[in-house]
Amino acid sequence: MKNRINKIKELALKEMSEAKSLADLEKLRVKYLGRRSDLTNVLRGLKDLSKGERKEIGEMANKIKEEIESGIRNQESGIKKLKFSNIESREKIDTTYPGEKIKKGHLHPLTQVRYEIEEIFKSMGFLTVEGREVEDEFHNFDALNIPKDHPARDIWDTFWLKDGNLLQTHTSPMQIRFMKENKPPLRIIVPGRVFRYEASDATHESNFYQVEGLMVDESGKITVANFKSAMAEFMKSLFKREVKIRLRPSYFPFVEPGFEIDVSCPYCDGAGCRICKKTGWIEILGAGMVNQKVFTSVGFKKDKYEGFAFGFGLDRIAMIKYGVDDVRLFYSGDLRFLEQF
Amino acid sequence: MKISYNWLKEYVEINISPEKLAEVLTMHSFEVENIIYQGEGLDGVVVGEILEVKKHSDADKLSIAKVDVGEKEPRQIIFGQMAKIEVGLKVPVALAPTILPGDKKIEKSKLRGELSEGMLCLDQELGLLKEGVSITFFDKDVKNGTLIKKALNLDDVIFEIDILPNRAHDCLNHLGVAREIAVLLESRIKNQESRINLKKLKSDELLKVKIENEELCRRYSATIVRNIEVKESPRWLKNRLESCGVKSINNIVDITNYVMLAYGQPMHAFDADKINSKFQIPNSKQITNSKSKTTKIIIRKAKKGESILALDDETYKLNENDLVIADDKNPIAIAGVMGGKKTAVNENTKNIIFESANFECANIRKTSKRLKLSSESSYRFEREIDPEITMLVMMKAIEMAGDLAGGKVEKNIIDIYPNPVKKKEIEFNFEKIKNLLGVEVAEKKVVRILESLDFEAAIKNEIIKVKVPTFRIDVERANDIIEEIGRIYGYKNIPEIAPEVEMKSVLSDKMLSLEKDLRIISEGLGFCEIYNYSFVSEKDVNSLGLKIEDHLELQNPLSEEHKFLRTSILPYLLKNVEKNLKYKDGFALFEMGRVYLKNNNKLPNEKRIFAGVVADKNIKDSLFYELKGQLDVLFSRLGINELTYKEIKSAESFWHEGRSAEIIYQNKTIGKIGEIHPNVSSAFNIETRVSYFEIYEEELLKFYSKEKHYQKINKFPSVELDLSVVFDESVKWDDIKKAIFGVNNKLIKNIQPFDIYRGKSLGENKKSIAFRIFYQAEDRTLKDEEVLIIQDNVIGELGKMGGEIRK
Repeated sequence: MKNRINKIKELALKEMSEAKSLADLEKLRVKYLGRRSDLTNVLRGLKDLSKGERKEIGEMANKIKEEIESGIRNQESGIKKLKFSNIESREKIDTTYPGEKIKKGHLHPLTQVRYEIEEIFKSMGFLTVEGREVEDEFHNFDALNIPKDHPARDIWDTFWLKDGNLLQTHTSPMQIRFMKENKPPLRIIVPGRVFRYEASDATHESNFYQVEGLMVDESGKITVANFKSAMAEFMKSLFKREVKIRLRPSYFPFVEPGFEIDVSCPYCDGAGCRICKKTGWIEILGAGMVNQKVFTSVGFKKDKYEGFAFGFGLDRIAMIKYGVDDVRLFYSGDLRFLEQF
Repeated sequence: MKISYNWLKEYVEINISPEKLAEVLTMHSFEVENIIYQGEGLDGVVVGEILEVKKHSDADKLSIAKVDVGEKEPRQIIFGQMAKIEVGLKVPVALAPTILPGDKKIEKSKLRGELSEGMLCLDQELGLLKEGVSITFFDKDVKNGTLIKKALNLDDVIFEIDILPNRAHDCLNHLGVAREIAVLLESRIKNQESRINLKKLKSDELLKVKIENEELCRRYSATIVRNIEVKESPRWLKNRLESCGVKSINNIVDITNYVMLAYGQPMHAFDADKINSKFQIPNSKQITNSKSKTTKIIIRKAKKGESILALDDETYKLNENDLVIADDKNPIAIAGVMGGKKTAVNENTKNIIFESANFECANIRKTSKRLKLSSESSYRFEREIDPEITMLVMMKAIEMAGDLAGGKVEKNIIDIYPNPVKKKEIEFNFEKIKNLLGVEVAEKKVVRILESLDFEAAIKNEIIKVKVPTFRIDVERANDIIEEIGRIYGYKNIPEIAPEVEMKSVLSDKMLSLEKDLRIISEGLGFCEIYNYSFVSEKDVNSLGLKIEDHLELQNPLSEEHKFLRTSILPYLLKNVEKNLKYKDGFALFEMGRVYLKNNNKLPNEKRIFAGVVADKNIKDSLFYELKGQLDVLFSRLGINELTYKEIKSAESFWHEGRSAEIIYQNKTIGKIGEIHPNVSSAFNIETRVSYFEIYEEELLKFYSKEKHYQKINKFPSVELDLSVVFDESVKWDDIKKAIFGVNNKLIKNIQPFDIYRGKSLGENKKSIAFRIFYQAEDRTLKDEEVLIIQDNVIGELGKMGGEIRK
């Protein structure tokens, strides 16, 4: 009997060590430990043995049963480990090979700059609104103190429609439309498409984008000093560095006084480079304190309010920010250009 | 305007460099756009005398000169045939080696065996003349070897100044700019009084002036200058004019231009003998007994049908709004715009009438615009000038005519000035200065600034009273005066102070938020954003089958390509496709922009369109479903689900009718999607199929909501069963879906098609659609039997539509 049991053990351990897969092991488990296995038969036959033998054989069989069981477990974990052994070299990939081509979209550079500017002004409490693109003479000129037969009109080369209306030459008409509907205090910016009757070249386009700004409050609450502060903050946020601004006298009929704003060149910090044409300054926007004639044209009482207005070319800012040297690229629809943004 | 540094120095002491001066002017007055140094690059060019000329033995067109350039030995120089060179002439000579303007290098070299040690220079080679061929000859008394810079007095610095319309009244001239400089440098203007002083009269026996329209001619000063000799102007005068960009004509015309550039008052000179009067201007001896023989000048509106041959040799038809200067019979000048040819001053002219007048600005502008005729004179009158200055300028001109043409004024100056201008008076609270500038400027400083600008200023009881000089036409209100104070005080001296404002949240405009969302989602879906022009051509419109009469037309288009305003985004998107297919196989583009729809002569309806195209050379099949899938994602991101698609019922013929649909949401058409008809795309030279969509933003906005609501997650398992059903081609998925949901819309949660098959085995006009139905209850786990009963009913319903289960 003892021999029989040892035989079972010997055979089981040998076969186990030769098992290659978990399935093989399962077969062995059934063969040596299952209901119909020799070992089970041995254990089942114990009751027919003498009391002394029963104890000795029983202990021996149970011990062997445990040995086989733990042997199977060991072998099992061995096989499992083996499954992933050397996986690093077996499954090595070339990580330098390109990833799957995922279709990538692009927002137009002017959109990107526009949203950046809108965010800056929003943080300063300015609401973004849009005006019209086709305008009448009143909103584009007359209400802005640019009367007919006045040479100031020559500043804006205008596209006229056959029906007598025109394509807005600047975003300023929205000053009028907005103030007709809203009383101060007010703070808005107006991005919009504007048009100039101009042959296009590297720095001129017949349609382009402007951003208008307007802040109005009771007289005494808004000054040139406030305007300088607002513009300095904007420029710092836009160019993400400590740029300086300077005001020069200029003239636009809808402001008084009128200014031209230069920003210290963000590329050379004012030292002079190609971008700023060695002057250290870049001309960036036109502005001024709102002319009282504009307020009266929207029905406000003269001298009740003061405010500042400013306007700049979005295309120009984008050109400076991205180093684009030809404004026509923005309207070329050329993916070789647009996919760079 | 071009302003000469040397000329300025005649009027004001300048003790800073031209660069520094330009900076000061730019920061306080007006922008100096450019500084030009005359004579730059002419350091190697001298006056040389031709001693000997002979033919080059080996070149027909070349000659050899020996030239005395002030050196020990004469130089040998080879020249061509551009100018006639003779022995004894003195001409500009570039001494090799040197570099001329325009980086032209002059080296000693051999030309066909003969040495050339320099070059005889034409004016344009020296940068003295922009066009034409000419050569400057120097007088005998100019020493050989003199730098031509010196000989021609090319030592000036020219400023190009952008004089804006508000300062065009007083600063389109040297005196005006000098006045600004005097203020900025705390200096003074030198005395400008004339050394002659003539009597002002309303008329005399020689000259009568009649102004018929006083509102259009505010002042007319005129005088007769006799016995003049018309000839070439001296070099200094030519230089002055030429450095300001004005061509020299003759001494008399040059005098009128000189005083205009000096003082801003346009003048005109008529040949007095060609004015149609009852008599000719007599010699001085006859004057006393010729009382009846008076020259008459009338300032009047042109008569219907009148025309005039002007100095530019063009004939202009005048109308009753144009102001003219006329003699007894005919107009002799278009007032303030251009003189007539008939009375022009030329070398035969003996007696002239000088005119120094003031014309109303708007009327001059109208005439000049209508006739498309602009001159230095009309440019200034259009911008309105001070009528006070006519006399000063007249005296200066007479003085110069005496000096340069030997002319003599026998009598008086006739001066008609019906309504002399008064100085404007403006008063306001002193406090307003601080309220506008944001900085306190001391009373003393304010008064000093204003007085330096020729304003009179007095402050009493916090009120400042200001009298404005007549030449400052731009200054009308308190803010104008505060601007003067601000710019002279210096904007750089105003601190940056943050405004005090109410703290308020900024709500975004809903339409702009929608547009931003659309853009960002499209970008995520792989679309590239395009900005196109708002214009289209007639050809574009026709290619799309749109109606030209629906398009707004420009009065003044830049080109045929840009003659109309677009009513569709499509034409340019097709152009984008055509262009980019040259570089790329496939792409998706979108544009967000406005189209312009006629609106009964009122301002047009500007409709916001979000449109896109997809094209791919490598996909032969339609991209319709890909595009539709992208739009589904887009709409669902906006909170818009369960759209329906309906056949397009519109006149637009650019769609492929079998492959296009209107996008409907809650019974509203919010857009269209489909393939572009190949006839249309091929008209734009596109061989690939193009799918297109357009969304009407105003419609979409009505449903745009970013609110989101959580729905409980169903914890009971769903049962999914697949069916494959054969239908006629004409059966639409929408109807199949409806029929299935109709069986049990409570337990059927979703239906997803996953395959369409067409093949001979199915028969003609048949398609097999495979789809999966999701069954799920919200309160229990469904039993198989329950689901199978519903599935049987589904099969039954589909059977009614002709659907056969495919085994």
